[in-house]
Amino acid sequence: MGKMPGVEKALYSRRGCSMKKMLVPFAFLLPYLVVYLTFTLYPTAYSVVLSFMKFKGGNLSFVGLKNFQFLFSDPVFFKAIANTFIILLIQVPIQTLLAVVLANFLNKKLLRCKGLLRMIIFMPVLIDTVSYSIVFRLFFNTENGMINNFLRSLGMEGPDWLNVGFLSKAVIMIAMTWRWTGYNTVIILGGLQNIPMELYEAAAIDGASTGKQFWNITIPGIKPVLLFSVILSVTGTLQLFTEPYLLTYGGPVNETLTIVQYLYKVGFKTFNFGAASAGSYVLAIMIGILTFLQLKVTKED
Amino acid sequence: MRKKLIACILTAAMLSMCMGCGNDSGASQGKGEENQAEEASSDTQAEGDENVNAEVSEEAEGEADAEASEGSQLSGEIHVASWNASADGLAEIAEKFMELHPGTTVIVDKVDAEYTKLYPALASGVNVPDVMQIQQTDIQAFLNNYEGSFADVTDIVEPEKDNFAASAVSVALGSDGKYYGIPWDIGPCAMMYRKDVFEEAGVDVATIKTWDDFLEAGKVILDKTGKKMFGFCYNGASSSDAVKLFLHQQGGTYYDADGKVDLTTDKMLKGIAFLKEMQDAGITMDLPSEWDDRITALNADQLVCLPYPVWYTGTLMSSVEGQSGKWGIAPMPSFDGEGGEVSMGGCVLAISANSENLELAKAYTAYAMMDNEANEINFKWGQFPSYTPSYEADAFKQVDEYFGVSRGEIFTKLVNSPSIDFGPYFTDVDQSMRTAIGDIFVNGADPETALSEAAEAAQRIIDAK
Repeated sequence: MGKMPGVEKALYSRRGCSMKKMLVPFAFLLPYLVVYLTFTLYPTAYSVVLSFMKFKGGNLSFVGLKNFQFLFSDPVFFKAIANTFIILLIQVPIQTLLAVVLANFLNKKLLRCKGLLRMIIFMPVLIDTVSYSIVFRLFFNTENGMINNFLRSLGMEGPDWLNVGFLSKAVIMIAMTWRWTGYNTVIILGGLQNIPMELYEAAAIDGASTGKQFWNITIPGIKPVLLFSVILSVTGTLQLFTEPYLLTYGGPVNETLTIVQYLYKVGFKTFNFGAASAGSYVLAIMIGILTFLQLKVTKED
Repeated sequence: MRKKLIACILTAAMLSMCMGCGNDSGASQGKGEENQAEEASSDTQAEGDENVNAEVSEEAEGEADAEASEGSQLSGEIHVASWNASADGLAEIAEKFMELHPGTTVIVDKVDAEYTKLYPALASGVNVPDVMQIQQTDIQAFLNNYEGSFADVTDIVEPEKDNFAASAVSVALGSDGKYYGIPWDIGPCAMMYRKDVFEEAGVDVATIKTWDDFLEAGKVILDKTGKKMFGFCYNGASSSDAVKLFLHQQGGTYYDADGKVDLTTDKMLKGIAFLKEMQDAGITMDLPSEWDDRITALNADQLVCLPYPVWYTGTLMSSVEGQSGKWGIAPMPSFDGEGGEVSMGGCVLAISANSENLELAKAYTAYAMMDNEANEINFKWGQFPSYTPSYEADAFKQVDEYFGVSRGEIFTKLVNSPSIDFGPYFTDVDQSMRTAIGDIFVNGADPETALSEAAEAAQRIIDAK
């Protein structure tokens, strides 16, 4: 080596080498990239095309903005958006608040059986969405449901849960809160455990009350995690499908019909794949805007 | 520098291995899909099947003379897509068929009744099953949405047209006058009732001829026993069966003469008005999740009468076991006290136009739908065949312990229900109708207003397509 510098230069010019260096990571990524491109990127991009198309008998034809026109002239679409946002605006704050409270409780130094309690609180999320939706449907049955049977035993006549608009929304919210609070609690608990204990000790020595400690140490400390949890919940709620699909079937009279459920109906019940694709982009844009706003609002420092 | 060289060679080798892997898995995946197999193991199994096939057909060639039933020798492999117990029945029929026709392979794949596996297959034209179970209400929509995907089976249906129950034949007739589905099962309805409760309330079931009699009997039963005569989903979200029942019994339709959606016909309003009358009289109960809640209500002794299709007798026997011997079967009431025959639910088998073994697919389907032995198997698995000559078979005479009578004998006499035109957009109509049902029976809206709004909504969805 070193005796034929000219040859060496020609064989391994800097450019050639860096090219190869550049290719190496792609070589390792290739298997994943192939899967990602075929099953994620391609369908996502293709549905953009579909949203401007009409699909009939296996043939596609360009229809411009007709699919969007259809969506924005359909009162049911707006009803679905309204339903989803009502659920979002009530359920997510309640759930987040509960999760913060529970996480603080689980983070208490003197608490016994921490592992067991954490497991119990986290457990609902391990239960299959389909099963729990059906169980909640049975709970809230007017005639034979557990809830109304319990109320009856107290001498009260239970309400007609699944036939009253706001009650059926409430049932969905109760079910979602039951399932997802534990999940968010664990996320927030992770944030709490990253706050150094010294801060609290120093604050206590300086005479700060528990409330002050909470607002000035805990909340800023868990802010990134809290934001993450809220964004997850908001996105999840905007994409809500299984619970209303199985628990209330979107009823009564579309009172619990969510955006995704509406799109499912448009796509697979009425075979209007173009409009369904268009709708999914309307939803994607809404999620994008909301996430951007949340990041913006919380980015004060 | 040598190190770099080695590194490059190794990288290239790894790259090619990766790509090799990719190709391999791609290839086996493709094969898996071709076989409609979900598990990796079935790949090898399917190959095994093919091998067996090859052997069998070689053997069969020698016996070709003995096999004179179909004229030409059948061979090859077909996939049949069907759901639940009806798929089990088809699989049992497939075994018999394969015994009769060595060298053929009929594989029944279980799918869901919501067609989630069928839609993408038909849309892409890839992996379409050779034979598909499709509900009577949906076949026209399939013909419309996937034009050219289904084989013309006029040669099978036309000569036997009069042997099928009329309502089952008409649904599979395409707009071009050709048949695209072979009628399978129908759902003739009868009034199943709790003999013990009727007796306790002093109601003689023979006196119930009209729906008004039904209403009066319901009032007496409610008064004497507190039990309900009829159950349906008030908010319509989980089912619209109750409304369909009364509409179909009168031979009503969902469209006007011009083919536009019309949900405010006299027959529709009459049915709705009667349901409302029953609801107001307090003799009905709400079943928000209709299928499950009905079973719960039956087991809780709350619901004592079921004017419902024959296939529900199977559900009674399996899900309400404890009431064996307590149920009787009587004819359906009707608005004018005559006829009253009505069919609810039912399917056809359609064949893919692009099937590689079209002859085999046709032969199997014809056998499964029109052979006496096959229809006995269908009946055993809860599919009530629409092919009337099969009603002579022994299975239809057997006395069922649960009812103390022969279900077969009763229901085979109730198959002359009116033919219903579901049209190519029934799902859209049904979706909108369900909203109207909720509006009427939960929110107390005026039926005519709610239904005309629903018709408009459905028409708008249809026009947008």
